[in-house]
Amino acid sequence: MKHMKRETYRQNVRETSINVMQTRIESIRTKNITRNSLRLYDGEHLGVAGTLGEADEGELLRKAEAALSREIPYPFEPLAGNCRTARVTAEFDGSQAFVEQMRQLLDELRSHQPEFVFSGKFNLATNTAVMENDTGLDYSYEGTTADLDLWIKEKGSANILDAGVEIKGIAYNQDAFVETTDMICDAFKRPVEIDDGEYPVVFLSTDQLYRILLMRSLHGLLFGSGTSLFSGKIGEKLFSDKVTIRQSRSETDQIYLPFFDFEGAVNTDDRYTLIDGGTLVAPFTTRAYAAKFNLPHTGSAAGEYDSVPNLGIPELLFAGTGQTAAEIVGGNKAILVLIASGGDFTPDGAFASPVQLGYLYDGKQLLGRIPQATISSHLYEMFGDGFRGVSTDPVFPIGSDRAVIMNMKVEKSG
Amino acid sequence: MVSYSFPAGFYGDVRTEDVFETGIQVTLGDVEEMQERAYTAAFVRLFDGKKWYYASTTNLDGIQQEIYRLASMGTASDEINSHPVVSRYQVHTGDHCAFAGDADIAAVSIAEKMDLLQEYTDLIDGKEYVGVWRANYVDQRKVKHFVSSKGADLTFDTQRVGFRIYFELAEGDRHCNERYDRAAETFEPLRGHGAAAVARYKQAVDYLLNSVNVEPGDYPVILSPEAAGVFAHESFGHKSEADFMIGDETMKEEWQIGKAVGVSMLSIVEDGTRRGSGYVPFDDEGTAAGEHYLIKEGRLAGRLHSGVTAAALDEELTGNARSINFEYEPIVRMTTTYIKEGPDTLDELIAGVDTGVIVETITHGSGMSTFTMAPSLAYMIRDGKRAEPVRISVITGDVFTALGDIDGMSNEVELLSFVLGGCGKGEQPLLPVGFGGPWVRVKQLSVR
Repeated sequence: MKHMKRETYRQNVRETSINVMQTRIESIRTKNITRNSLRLYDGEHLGVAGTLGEADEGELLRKAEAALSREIPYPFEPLAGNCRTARVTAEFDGSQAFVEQMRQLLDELRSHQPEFVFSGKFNLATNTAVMENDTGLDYSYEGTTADLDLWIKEKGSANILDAGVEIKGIAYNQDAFVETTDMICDAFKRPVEIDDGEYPVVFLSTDQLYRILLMRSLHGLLFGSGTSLFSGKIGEKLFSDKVTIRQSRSETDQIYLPFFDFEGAVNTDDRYTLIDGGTLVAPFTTRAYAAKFNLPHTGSAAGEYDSVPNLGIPELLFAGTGQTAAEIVGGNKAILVLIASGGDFTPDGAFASPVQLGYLYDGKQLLGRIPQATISSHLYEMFGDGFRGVSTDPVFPIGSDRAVIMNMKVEKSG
Repeated sequence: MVSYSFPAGFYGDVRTEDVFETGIQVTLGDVEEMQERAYTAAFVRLFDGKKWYYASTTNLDGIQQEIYRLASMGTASDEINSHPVVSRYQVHTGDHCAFAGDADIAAVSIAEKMDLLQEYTDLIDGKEYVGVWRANYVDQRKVKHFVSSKGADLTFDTQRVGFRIYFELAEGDRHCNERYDRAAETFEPLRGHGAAAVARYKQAVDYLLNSVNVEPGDYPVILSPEAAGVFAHESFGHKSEADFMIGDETMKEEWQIGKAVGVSMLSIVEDGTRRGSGYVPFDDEGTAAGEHYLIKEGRLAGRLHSGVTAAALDEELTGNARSINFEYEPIVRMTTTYIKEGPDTLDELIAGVDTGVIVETITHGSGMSTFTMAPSLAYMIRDGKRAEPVRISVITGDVFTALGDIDGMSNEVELLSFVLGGCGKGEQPLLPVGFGGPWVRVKQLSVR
């Protein structure tokens, strides 16, 4: 057998999860799960074996050798690296304090918004990832983050849900959370009419809907194989000067992920710019797709703990364009999209989506709830002439969402 | 058989999952994954009559300790066994496995599974216009052992096996993606679908070369069994999940049994005993599955329950408390949801449309008060005949208006199963479900 190099990968998640029903705690779940894997490299192939729970190293080695014998192509050595450790911690003092703070939050929500009920999940999780190999790579990351996700329903409504509020990350402030829900609920109670026409449409930066096709078109496999709208266009100006999109694993961007990807790749400042001032720089890639299609390697590998690394969907951020939301909206009335489910692009870029919950918005305040509507445009219009900018200020008092604003056609439904 | 000691004053149950699964992925001829995985893990629940306490663990030797730890978080209740949730729980025992022995997918070698996938990839590899293709083979057998403080001691299993061939076509600036997939409960039924896979490729090529952007507007729309099944699942199935109704008098009023909610030819059924990817003979609270009408002849006929929701609405259990895996608690979920057949043939449905749209495949759908679906393969209907392929971003409509606007259904039901994808709810994505129905014609939907 050829000389093999080894790499180990270990994940652990410790989580306290609170289920909220009718604005009260219904259940508490705890989790402490470890996953281990061993990778064997022979320079041409990769063999991976994993186990749930504590690892039996002899058994893992036997299984990894069996996996290597299946000759899954992987013509690389493990990435060399150095020693780096990162740790981030949410603003909660352990799981018991978390449960108590969430109980207090629900008490306050019941008091502030008696006409609404809140359901959902509060999770506090510590995720650990450790990667080590024979070539000196020694990375470890531990991140404790909270995900507070509530569905909001107006009492008397026949809908399953009417609105929602979610924050993810390490920062928490109860007053700011309540202020945010007050904004959403109070404006919900103020229906306003709009005329059909073109509006500045505001998406929360973490919303996926408006960028589905962008993500697909930046996918390294599709790009490299010639089936992306952007294939062959590296270096070409595709969009407005205001469009800069980067892949990020940086805490600076309020992204709380291991700084290394699933192959152990680390980018400078934990970021990689894919579109710079509207010009295409690179699609996102793994080592294999970068080599196969002669593309830049962007460190975008992902996978399950015991899988061969494959291309994942990275966290993509739109860079701010130096103005606040109010400045970008520029005194116009905008439509802020809070719930828009089910829309999509055609393969050539036409976009349409219903907006189940939208608000009239001036860049600072939610002025009222608009009727259900349909928004439509085209990829090259949304991020081209129609692109107005990305706010430097957050949309809500809590959370990291910025306003991504573009002109679109808005028509009331029905 | 393992037994546990549940503290007095609590209801408790332990669900142990013994899982075998295979995943193979081939992209453009390169094998990217070829993996078998086996593990056993458990989910523990304890209830003190006021709150639930859960733990998920991979340490099977520590389950008893987890039970004691969870009990220390709650307060024992003398009345726990007469609590309306606990008193509803069924007590089943015995072995109800359907996929042991020769049917166990673990008995088929990974080499045979790779050979099967290869037979299908050979049909796509190198074909004209195919820029990229990816083939996945997936199987999973899950044996669940459920014990409860009421005396349940039950073993049952589920198994799903299947493949998907996904391909992206390109010709100049024109792009199109499509898939061909098959799912079954055992290995052998996956063979012999080459002609159908090639036919789907040819249909996609025609769509690539000849499709035009739809003229946006309101049209009569005929939904395929796949599209109608997604509509039933997303638009009505989720609304039938009773956890959305707890403590909400308006919802109870709105969802009164017997209320007219659609045309009289419409019946929607939910049935965990139907074989396929939604087959679950017992749910994750140990309740036996059965056939339940959600809509019968246009009137609301039932809803889906866990123990908590059945007690809250004073109704019977339905066997719909499900979790995606050992890491999560069971919540109210669907199993196999489908629309019952109607009186017409597909040809009759098409012939009755002057100008409209027929949807064959979709990429996704969703349903709140407004439902949506994003068609993949869709065609205009002109003068009662199928006409040119059209590109559509989204089809939308008000759920209850659409249920009342159904004016035709074909006389054959097709139930569909999948091994990739699934239903998502809250933090639990990709739950295996089945869905389907006949071809369904709706008088008017918004097409963009």
